[in-house]
Amino acid sequence: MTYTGNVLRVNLGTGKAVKEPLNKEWARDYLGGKGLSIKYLYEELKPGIDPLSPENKLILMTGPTTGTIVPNSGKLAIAAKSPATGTILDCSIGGHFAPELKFAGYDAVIIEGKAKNPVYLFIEDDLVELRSARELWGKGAHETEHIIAETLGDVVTMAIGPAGENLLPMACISSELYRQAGRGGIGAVMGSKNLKAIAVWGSGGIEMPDIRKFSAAMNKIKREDTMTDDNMWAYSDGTPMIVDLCQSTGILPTRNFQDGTFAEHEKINSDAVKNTLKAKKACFSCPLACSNYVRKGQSEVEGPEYETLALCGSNCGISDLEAIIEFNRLCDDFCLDTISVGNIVGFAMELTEKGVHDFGIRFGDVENFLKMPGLIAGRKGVGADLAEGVRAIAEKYGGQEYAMQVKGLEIPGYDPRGSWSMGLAYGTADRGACHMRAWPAAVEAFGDIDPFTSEGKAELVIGMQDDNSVKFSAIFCDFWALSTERMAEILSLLLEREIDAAELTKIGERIYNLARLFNEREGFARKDDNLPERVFNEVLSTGFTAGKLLPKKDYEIMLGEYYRLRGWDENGIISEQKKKELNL
Amino acid sequence: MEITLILRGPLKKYADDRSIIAIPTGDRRIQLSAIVDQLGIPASSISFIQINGRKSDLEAFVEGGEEVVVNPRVAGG
Repeated sequence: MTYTGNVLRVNLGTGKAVKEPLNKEWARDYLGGKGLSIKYLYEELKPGIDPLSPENKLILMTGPTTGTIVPNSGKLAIAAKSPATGTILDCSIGGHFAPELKFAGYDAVIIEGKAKNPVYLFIEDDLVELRSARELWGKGAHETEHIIAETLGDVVTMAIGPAGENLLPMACISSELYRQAGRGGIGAVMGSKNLKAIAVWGSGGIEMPDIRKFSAAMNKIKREDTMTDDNMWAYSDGTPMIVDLCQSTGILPTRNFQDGTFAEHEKINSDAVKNTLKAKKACFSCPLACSNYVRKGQSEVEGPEYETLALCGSNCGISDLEAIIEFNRLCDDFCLDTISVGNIVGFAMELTEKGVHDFGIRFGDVENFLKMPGLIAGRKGVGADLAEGVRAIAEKYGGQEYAMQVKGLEIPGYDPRGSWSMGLAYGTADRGACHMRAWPAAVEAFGDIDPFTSEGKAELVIGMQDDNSVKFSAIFCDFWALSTERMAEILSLLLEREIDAAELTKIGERIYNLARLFNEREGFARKDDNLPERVFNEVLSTGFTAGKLLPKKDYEIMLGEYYRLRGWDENGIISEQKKKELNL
Repeated sequence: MEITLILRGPLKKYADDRSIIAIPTGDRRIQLSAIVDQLGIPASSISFIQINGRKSDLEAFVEGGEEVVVNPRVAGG
């Protein structure tokens, strides 16, 4: 079995750390990663706590694939109650932290309480220290990582920047400079605990039952299933490829989702990014190397990913790729979620142009665009208002109909009016508007399924949510389009017991329903599974989606069908029968 | 007459690593599925086709002068 069997529990208030046994019963039912971290939070958090209080917990959770040569197994789940939405929140961060944590001897770290003064956590096998972060507090994540590397040597670090310190609802956690646990304010949870960084180094390994057989099996799978046409877009282009996919299907967020195509898309598409490419980069045990390390002019960054090109590019009317690269680098250093910040800046631009409130910035204004990350992260000038997110900005100034958020989390780069399944995905995602729970655009807007019908969408979204729940709990990266059968084959080897696809699908359903149960306990119901009015009332005007919107009655049909198939009542509450069936 | 065929991402491997190629159409209308078959691109490797920047499909016909983009499958988000 490829668990270490150990969880490190750190209380920042008392300064004590204990190694405790992994709950094996929970690990069997929830695997690891997303599922197991949500299970621990569901059992250990009282309903109604303030996510920025010491009562919240931050959980770093690996999976049974972590640290092995399973392809695409390098990611880590980080979970807590979300400061942005009040829902359950699990994020996924790539790089090398997860395997290093496992080599140090831990499946998970649970961080509780709040330190009296800024600290960082250092884990080196059995040595666990809380070190003063007084000199680091106030610094960006990049400088923080450099200083820790100079102090501790060859460690893997994750850190927060000023955004997390200032408790922004869109603060993220950064690792290896350019990897993020991005959404929902996970960085603010760390900031609220006075925890500046976590550094880890491990001298151990993972004990494999038959390394020769396992290596041969993984190499075969890598050749036949990972490095195939289906997945090699990640190597050839990375996510910037999606700019052209969205442009040609009319779902590219443009000027705060006022339109679905951007006239200057060729300045920010994959070909444009390739002209700036210096190197490809990969996470631990990944042959796809989706990351692009780029340089243009004086700016360089690992990125920009599609979401940044869309939300901080076309959505802000910005076509200057060098400016987007610099904006990305600033957000990475300050630790700001680029999806949320791109939405915030686009919203501020529309409010200014419409005369609702003057935030001093209009679409396409590069000079003020580049000032935004600093102002927002520091809550300075217009940043004082903007740092609260689009829902709060709209409550204060107006424009609720085009504040593009669900449950308080800003919308990712796919306009639901051109992909009705994405509308349902956003409305029913556990952490607010999210494209990582289900990404049905891949087979609908970008495939054969009619994007402009409510038919069949509920089943499509549910299938993806459940499969992704397993995927992010076993831990496989999103970008490997592997089947549940393949996951079962690999997990059977790792866990040394026979698992089939049907059992995994059940586990996925259980995980997704547990996330929903957490939210139910916090008071969430159908009224919160809603979309911004713009999507229901305003048509898009150019390209493939000219004249299209998502009629509210069709959204309600999809949502009703979704609840029915999920075994939830008309208010989106899980039935007792379903809870019993899933052992919840 | 000819069309410009753009093979995005890994699909350029089906044209000797050229991502942009010219396909002569003569004076005929040609169905896109025929062009794709001739290059040996499996339909399962294709997400969707664009003709002159707009989504289309393999059933569509071209006669020359169009820019046709063949997009690979993309997982994740």
